[in-house]
Order: sequence, then C-alpha cells, then structure tokens
Amino acid sequence: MSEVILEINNLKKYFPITKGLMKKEVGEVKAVDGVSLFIKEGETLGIVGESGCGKSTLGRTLLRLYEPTEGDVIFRGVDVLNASTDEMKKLRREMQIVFQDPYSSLNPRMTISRIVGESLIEHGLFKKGKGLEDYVVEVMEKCGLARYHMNRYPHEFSGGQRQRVGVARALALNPSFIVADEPVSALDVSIQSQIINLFNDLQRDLNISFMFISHDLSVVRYISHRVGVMYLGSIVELAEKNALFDNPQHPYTQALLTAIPEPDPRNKRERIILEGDIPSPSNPPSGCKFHTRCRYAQDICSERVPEFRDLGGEHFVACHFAK
Amino acid sequence: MNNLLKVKDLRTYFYTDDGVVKAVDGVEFQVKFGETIGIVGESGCGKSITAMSLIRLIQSPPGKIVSGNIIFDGEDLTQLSDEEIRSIRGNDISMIFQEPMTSLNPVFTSGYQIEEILELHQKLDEDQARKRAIEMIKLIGIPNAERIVDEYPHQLSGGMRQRVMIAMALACQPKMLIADEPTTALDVTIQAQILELMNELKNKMNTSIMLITHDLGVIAEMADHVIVMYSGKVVEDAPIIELFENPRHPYTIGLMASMPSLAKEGQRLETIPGVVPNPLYLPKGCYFHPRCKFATDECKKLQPELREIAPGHKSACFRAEEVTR
Amino acid sequence: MTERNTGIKPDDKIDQEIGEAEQEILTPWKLVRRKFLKRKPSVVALIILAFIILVVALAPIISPYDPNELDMTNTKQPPSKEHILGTDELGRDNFSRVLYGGRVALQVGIFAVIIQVIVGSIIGGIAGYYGGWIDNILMRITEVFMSFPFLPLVITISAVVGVSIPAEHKMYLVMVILGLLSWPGLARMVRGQILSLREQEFVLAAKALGIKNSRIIVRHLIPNTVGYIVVNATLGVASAILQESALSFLGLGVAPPVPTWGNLIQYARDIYNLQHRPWLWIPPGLCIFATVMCINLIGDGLRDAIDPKS
Repeated sequence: MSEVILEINNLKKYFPITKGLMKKEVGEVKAVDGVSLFIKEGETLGIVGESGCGKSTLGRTLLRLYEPTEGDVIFRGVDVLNASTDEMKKLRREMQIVFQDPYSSLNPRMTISRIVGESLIEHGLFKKGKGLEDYVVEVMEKCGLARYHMNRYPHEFSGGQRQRVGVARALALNPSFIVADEPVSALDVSIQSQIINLFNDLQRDLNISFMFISHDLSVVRYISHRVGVMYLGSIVELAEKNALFDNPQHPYTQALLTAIPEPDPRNKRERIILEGDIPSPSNPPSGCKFHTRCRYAQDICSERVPEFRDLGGEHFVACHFAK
Repeated sequence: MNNLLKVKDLRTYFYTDDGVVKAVDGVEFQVKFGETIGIVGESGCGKSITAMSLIRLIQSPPGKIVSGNIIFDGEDLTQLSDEEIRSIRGNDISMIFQEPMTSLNPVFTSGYQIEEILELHQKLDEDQARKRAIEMIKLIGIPNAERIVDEYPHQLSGGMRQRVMIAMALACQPKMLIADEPTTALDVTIQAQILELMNELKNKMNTSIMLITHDLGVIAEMADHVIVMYSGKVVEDAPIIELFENPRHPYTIGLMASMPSLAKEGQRLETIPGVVPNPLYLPKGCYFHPRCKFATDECKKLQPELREIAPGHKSACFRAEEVTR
Repeated sequence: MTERNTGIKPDDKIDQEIGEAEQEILTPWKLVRRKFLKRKPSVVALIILAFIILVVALAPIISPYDPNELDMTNTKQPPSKEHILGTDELGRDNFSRVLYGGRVALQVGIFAVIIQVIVGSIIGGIAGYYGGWIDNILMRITEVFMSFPFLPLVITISAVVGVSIPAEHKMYLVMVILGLLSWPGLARMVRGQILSLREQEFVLAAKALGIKNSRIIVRHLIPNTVGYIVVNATLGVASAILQESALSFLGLGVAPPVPTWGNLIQYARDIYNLQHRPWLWIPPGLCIFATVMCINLIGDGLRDAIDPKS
C-alpha cells in the first residue's frame, strides 16, 4: 500500500459573522467543523457534498488560503498550519489548487505564458528567457494546449481551454498534491469529459495525488479511489469508492445516492427523498447534524455527536446506528 | 393523442453589432397533451431561446422571431396581438426559470405574487385569490402555508423559492408548463424533491411540461420524449427510451459517451473534441461536422435535414442509419 | 487498462479550432479599443475633443493678440476683421482670451483629476486590500470628506486662502481644492473593486502559488482596476471643468486677469452685455458645453468598452 502523504486531524474553520460599524462578532459560520482524513500517494480522494457543506472551504483551509481555526494538517511530515513563511513557500511547490470558475480564476490582464510561468520566477526556478519559455510550453502541452496559445489572453479561450490553463498553472511547480475544487462543474458535458480525462492522465503519468471536490457524484465516482461525503462541515462517511457507492452506511449518503438522476430511462428507482432543507452552518443542529432530516433519527441522535469510526476496511462512518 | 403544441420552422435571430446570431434556426417539434418533452443541449444551443420564443418573450431589438408557426391548442401564437399573448402567458402557458433567487420579486410577499396572477387571469377577488394561493402552496408540499404566504422571498431557501415559483406557474392550471433548467441551481437532494413534485403535479393536473436542461439524467428521469439541440437546430427527436437505447445522431451519441455515469469502470471517457462553434461563424455544411468522427465530405458541404429514420424517431444526420453507440 | 498508452492521447489536443493559430492576438487594450471604436458618438466626441485640445494647446501660435494686452483705444468693439470676437472693456482681444481661457480650464480639470486619482486610488486601494480596521478608519475619513457641503466649503477656502495668493496663481489653488474634495468617490470605487477582486479565484491562486503580497497587488490587483480608474478620471475631468467654471463665474475661482471660460462668461452677469454683446459670453459658454459633452461621451464609451458585462 502506498504511503500517506497528507493527514488532516480535526480541522476546523469558523468564519466570524460581524455586525455594525465596529465589526462586533455576533456568531460564526462553522464551515469546516472537525474534519479528519488522509490521502495516499498517487490516489484521488473525492469529496462530495451539497452547496454550503464546506467542501471548498476544506480544500482552501488545508492549503492555508484561509487561516484555520483549529486542527492539524501534516504534509509529508511537515506541520502545514504552523509552517513559517519560508517553509510555507516551499510547501506551495508541493501542494497546488485548481479552481472551479474558468472565468474568475485567470487574471484577465495576463497572457497564458505569464499565468503559467509566474510562479516559476517567483520561486527562483527559472529566469525570464528561453528556458522558462520552453518549460512553460512543455507544461502547456501536457495539458492539451499548444505553443501558439502562449501570448494569448484568457478572454480568447473557451471554458474548457481556460480550465486547462488553470491546471497548467498548478502543474508548473511540479506538485505532488493538487486540490481540484469543482474543476468541471462549470463546463458543458462534452467538455467536462475532456478535463476529467486530463486529470486521469496526469495522475497516471506524474503520480500526483488529488483531492477532487465536487457536488457531482457521478464524476466523483468515476475519478476517485476513495470518497468522502460531507454534510454541514463534517465528513459523515469515507470509504473506498465501490464500498461507498454499493454499500452506503450513512443515511445521508444513502439519500444522496438515490437522489442523483440516472441517465437510464428504464431504471426508475425508489428514491429516498429527504425532507426539508439543509440547516444553516451558523446554527447547526445539536448531536448528529443530520438528525433533523434523517428518517432513522432517535433521541440519542440529537443528544450525542456520533463518533467517526472505522467499520473495518477503512470504511469510516459517523452514525450511531451504522454497523 | 392530440398535439397541444406544434412548432413549425421556428427561427429566432438576434441582430447584434457583430452580425446576425441565428439562435433558433428552423426548429420544429410537437408536444402532446399531458406529455413531458425534454429539450437537451449544451449552453448556447438555443434551447432557452426556443422556449422564450414560444411565449414571445424575446427582447426586441436585438431579437426577432423571423419566421415560423407556433400552433398552441389550435391557435397560432405568432399571429396574436401583444394583448392576446399576455393573456396566454401565465394562464395557458407558464414558465419557471433557473434562478430561484432572482425570479421572484423581492419587494412582494410570495403569497401576493401568486394572488396577483390569479386576480389578473382568473378575475378572482382578493379573498378568493388568497385562499387559492394558500391552497397552491399546500399543494406544492409546503406544510405551514398560512405563514409562507406572508413571507418575503429572502426569507425562503432556494428550494422553497423554486416551489413558490412552481405554485405561481401552476396557479391558473396552465395547459403547458415551460421549465427552463428548474433544478440546475439547486442541490441534488433538493433537486430530487422538486422533480418529484413536478411529476406529481403533472399527473394531478394533466399539464404538459417542456423541460429544458443540459442534464441527461434529469431528462431520463422526467421526459417522455426528447429533442436534442445543437447550434440552434434540432439534431435528434425521439421517444425517451428510443433515444437512450438507440441514439442516431453523432452528437447525442458523443454526449452520452462523455457522461462519467455511463462509463465503465477504469475506461477512458469518450470526448467530443473541440468546442461548440461561435454562432457568428458557423461552419459550412452540418454544424457538427468539425467535431464529428463520422463526418464525410458531404457533411462539410451540405446541411442535413431533420428526417424520420424510424417511426417517431428523427435525426438530422446523413449517416443516421449507420451511426450507433 | 492496457489500452492506455503513455502520454496524452491525441484526441485531447484537438481542442483547437481550425485556423486558430493564425488568429490575431487580442490584448485586453486592443479589445477595449475595438469596442470603443464601434461606438460612433464617442468616436465623434473624441475627434471634436482632440480638435479643441489642439487649438487650445496651440493658442500662442493661433491667437492674434496677447490675451492680456490692453488697448484702451479699442475697447468694447464688436466682432470685426481685426478682432473676430470683439474686445472687452479693457480692449483685450476676446478670441485670444477664449483660447487662453481654454488652456486654463483644461489644465485645471486635468490636474485636479490627477490629484483626485492619486489620493483616491491610494486610499481606496489600501482600504480594500488590507481591510479590517484600516479599512474602517479610511472609509470613515472618506465619508467625512464626502459629507462636506461642497460649495460653502470652497467659497470659504478661496475667500480665506485666496486673499493671500496673487491672482495669477489662483488657478493652482482651484486645482488643489477641486482635487482634494473630489477623491472620496473614486476612493470608494477603487476600494469596492479591490474588495471584489480579492475574492476572485485568480488572486487566491496567486496566493496558493506562493506569490508575494506586493506582487499580487502590483501584478494582479492594480492592472484590473486601471480600466475603471481611467473611466472615472475621464468623467472627473468633465466635472472638474464644470466646477472650475462655476467657481470662476462666481469670482471665487481663477481670477482675472488670467482668463478662463468661467470668468469670461462672467460678462453675462451684466444685463447690457447679455443682451447686446453675446459674442463675449456665448463662445466660452459653447466651449465649456462642447468640451464637457465630449468628455462625458468619451467616458461613457470607455465604460462600455471596458465593462466586461457589455
């Protein structure tokens, strides 16, 4: 079994809610609320959840794009959250991110080669010149872009091509871990598959580990080795892909899986329709956060937080009744 | 079964500074009573413009319905005066949109917005309208309807708002409901609720639904009949099962093959190379030919007509008989 | 999985339209220029304004007389071959004074806006980027400046400070006053821009790449606000010209003998001049109107061209 490269323990990120002229704190949004997981070398961990479940915040917090409230992130033995500025700069070469929005994620005033090459100069890996240019083209070609794209600006590209640029930018520093934050959600179906293939190819060729964040279960199922399901800032279930999709243990996972419309008109399954809406993360329910919408809920669920435990075979579930 | 709606050779063009955009270019299809018809296609294929054209909601200028007939319940909507079409909108044909956040007016209560339509089209008085509004909100599965009628849109969640939109759309018991990406902005579990609700209501009221979406999953779940659009044209038109099991246009085939949920474990996803063409510079011949792996010289020169290749199954491809998944 | 070969399969690379490689590269500014040139009224305005600026800049060559040269034998002349716009009560050539007046008006407008842009973008930029209490303090200060009643304040300042300044330097006072009082609007706009840019994913991406803060500001934030600042500055020039002429008309701005369009119109305050010598005040009035109108049209055109939503 391959080596664990990233370990997250009880990570929390609360955003303060402020009010008034003096920015008095009146509450907090518990966007990420005690997440623990690990990622192995060369694997893709999928994170699924609905909007507002904190999956994007999780990805950004573990890269310290947001300062975390509490918890540990250990990357190859280095404590990320307490790293000094210099150490952090080194870590940035190892851990990268690809964003969702192909429009706002590229600076409209920079050419593609500058977008891809900027970090290389900043980290002192290259000086401006032929060497940099050749390397940038090499990275761009890996991502399915051509040399003549170099001096163009983002507005001249389609959504799919922009996303390729975003991947190339992350790839330039030759990282071993990439957070992919909904990288295909904004794309049309036919383009989506091109980008998914790109991620798969990169992993195969460069042995990169991915945290692949998405709300689309079918994409996550296709691309991931293991999958974690998030609900209101916590991971409720985490398991090997087939174990999770074929044998979901948490009631939320079960409902989520039956809720995806399947492109098979003959297969009209029985759906588990969840009642009500997702509660607000600024005021999550007590005990198990899912108990307000759970059809199996009992008294204990509103009183005690269920432990995130291993049912065996690295199938983790946070439910009092899972066996 | 009879046709509720029959669209013939509909063309909606936009006259922009850069040239003419043929957003809808010779679209034809029909909708039967009580049927759900799905319109699928990627962004910019003209599916929303088609829907907007039906109830003449095209902003003019720059848009214009250049030609075509829209026969709805025996009446040609293209021939109606503005006054007459207004009495059809919201009454006989109503529409729900993608963005539940912006499609309700934030300064009125949700109840008022339903009542307004009832007073306008059904000539109900205020009390009757309110009663009916509460009934409608109950019907769409919101338990405390008496409270919700007096709440403003910002007090409701996205899923609730979409429900209120549906209540509004169905208040006058329309013959047809146009739903333009009704669940795209919602989460899967909420989407499941809304889709379930739409199906239930359709069966209760025998409303025909025109469902516009890019999600083949939603189509498979909801539609009886499907139209696939590409660059302003209908490329395939078939009953739901026929379409999924026996697609006969390379674009439909490519679309299905590129879906991760239909891919086999570990298998590389099929892709449709390239991008949707710029509507200002459409390629010669078949609009899809630059991305089509079945393209021949004929495809580069001539534009294929939509033709019947099997009973009830139409495809706009020269090689429709040969292409398969 | 034996079917997979190493390297990217060729079908991933055809994400390129035919002939795309030969297409001209469109820089953001080229794009703006192209869009601007499509707006006919703005282009016409640009041509007219260029003409006005040219004529005014060449005033020393074009104007037939020294604008301050007195000729007591030739006062209050109607338009004639020698004086195409007549002379004033001191015998100065009105045409020359209108030309020179334009120089003053445009200079005041431009310099006031330069002050406004410098102060406004620095304060707005700092407030937007750093946020927190710095933002809080700077924005409160901005609000204080915004809530000054403009006219009484200007009147007071030029009355108090004005007396100690010789007439020929009064135009500098006007520039400074206008500049220092008009920056808050710009500061708020720049702050808003920076705030929204900071949330853009490309700024987060730069952070994730380990790019230094200073470089993020210089490379990522500032270039993306320039367009908006240019639009605002352009429109600002127009309003500064209007304000200067209003002040000068009231006798509180640029003072005679230095001519400016504003104080030239002052002649119209006299009912006799208003009725019987329109050649004295209509030309400077038209100049103000044309200049301001043109600048506003250009500003609108720029806004449409720069705004990505259009």
